[in-house]
Amino acid sequence: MNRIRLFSTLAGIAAISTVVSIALADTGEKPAKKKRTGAELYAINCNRCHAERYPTERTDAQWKTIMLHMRVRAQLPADDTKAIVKYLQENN
Amino acid sequence: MKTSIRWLVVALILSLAPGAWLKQAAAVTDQEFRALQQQMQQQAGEIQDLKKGRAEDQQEIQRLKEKMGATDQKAEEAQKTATETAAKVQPVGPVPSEEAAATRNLTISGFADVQYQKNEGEHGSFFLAHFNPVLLFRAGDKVLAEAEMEMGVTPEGGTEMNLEYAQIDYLFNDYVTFIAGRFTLPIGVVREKLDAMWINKLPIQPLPEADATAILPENDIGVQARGALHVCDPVVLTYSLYLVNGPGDDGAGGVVFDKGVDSNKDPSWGGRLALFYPWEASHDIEVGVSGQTGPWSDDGELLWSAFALDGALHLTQYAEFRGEYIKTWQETAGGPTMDRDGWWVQAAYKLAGLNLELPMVNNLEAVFRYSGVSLPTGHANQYALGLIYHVTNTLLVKGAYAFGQSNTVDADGNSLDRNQLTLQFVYGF
Repeated sequence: MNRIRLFSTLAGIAAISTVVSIALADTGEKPAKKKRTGAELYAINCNRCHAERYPTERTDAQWKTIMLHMRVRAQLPADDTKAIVKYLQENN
Repeated sequence: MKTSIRWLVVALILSLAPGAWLKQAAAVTDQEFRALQQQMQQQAGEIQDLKKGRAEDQQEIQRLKEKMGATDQKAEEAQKTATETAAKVQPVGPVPSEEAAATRNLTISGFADVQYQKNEGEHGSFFLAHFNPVLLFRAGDKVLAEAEMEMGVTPEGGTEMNLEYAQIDYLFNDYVTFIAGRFTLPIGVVREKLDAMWINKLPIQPLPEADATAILPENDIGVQARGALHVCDPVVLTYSLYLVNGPGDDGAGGVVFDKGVDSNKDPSWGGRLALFYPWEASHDIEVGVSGQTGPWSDDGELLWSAFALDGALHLTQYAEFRGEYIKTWQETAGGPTMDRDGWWVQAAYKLAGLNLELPMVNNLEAVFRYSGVSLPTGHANQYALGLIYHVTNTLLVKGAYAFGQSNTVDADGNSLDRNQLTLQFVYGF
């Protein structure tokens, strides 16, 4: 019984992850949406948890690393993360 | 008579003068004349030579002018070609540094803090000092190895070092990231997103998350899939789904979290689902639900489960509201299920929003938090008033006075029915 429960749990996780990733990755053309600037996305996504970090605090490579960390930790959308990295790198 | 003689003398002189000149002119000899003639012929020859030389010089000048004209034309053509070529060449951007071009990078962030605490009826003490470096090693664009260590001083005066988390993140695509390792559990938001001392608004944690009164596990070892996507712009859906060892038996019939190994043959699983709606910068709302379930007893028959509902609201860049409700269930052998409840709400306001134009006041942030727990042994409530002075964006001086009301004790045996003053100096890096 426990083995069935374990396998069903694992299967559920694997199925959901796979379906979500493949389905969303293959959507191709993304729907049109209002394009926000990197500065706006920075204000929206970063300041909601912590105080503002100045772009000049880090180098380009460090911002790339930190934003990769924040994309995972704070669950930021990938395109928002890329725009924020660009904003930070252009203003450091 | 005298006048006549005078005129006679003048006439005589005038009649003799031409004669004298003619006599002198007649003195040039033929030899002298030929010499003069030869000299004139010689000078005429020299003049002819000069005329010839001048004509040659004119020719040379003309030739040089023509040559110079051809050179000018070549120079103009060369300049024109250079201009056209320069226009075709794309502008060269700044050359990337060696560091920026590298695919691998190690970055350190984290925080350090020191606290002073005085409990009601006791003497105050500097009682905590932490240094929490977060190591981030990026390998390319898809792999990140990260770990946080907490180095601190124990109440006994010793030094301790704990591994908060150590995980490998693989960014599978824009929507899914796989994590393996010891990670912070996404039950609620405190442990995962608000735990860092430079982010936490107060120097103390809400009762359901504080070490001595926690009703939730903080970390566990396992695997996780998580991500975020725009469901309808600007609304963002975030999800986490994980499988971990789960809680175990402490040997006395109680639950112990994060034993490092699975106590039974079945893991626990859980996750969080949240919606984040930012209608503009500093104006957003987030609501999330999360939970975990799995066996805790050695035989795997008794379940420990948790549910959490969390929310956050920002109405301006100055005002923030947060809250969370948590409930856990622990099945017992032959007895009733043990319930535990925890909750907290928090409001914070940056005084800069009052536009008082006073530097000291503008750097202040006022915080109020109410938190509570309901345990099998009793209950506890805490009302905390706090003030933050933002020295810089990440260098903070925080103070909190907490009013405690309780009929029970915490995990260390200390009464929760007491007031407490806590001061903290913290730096996020």
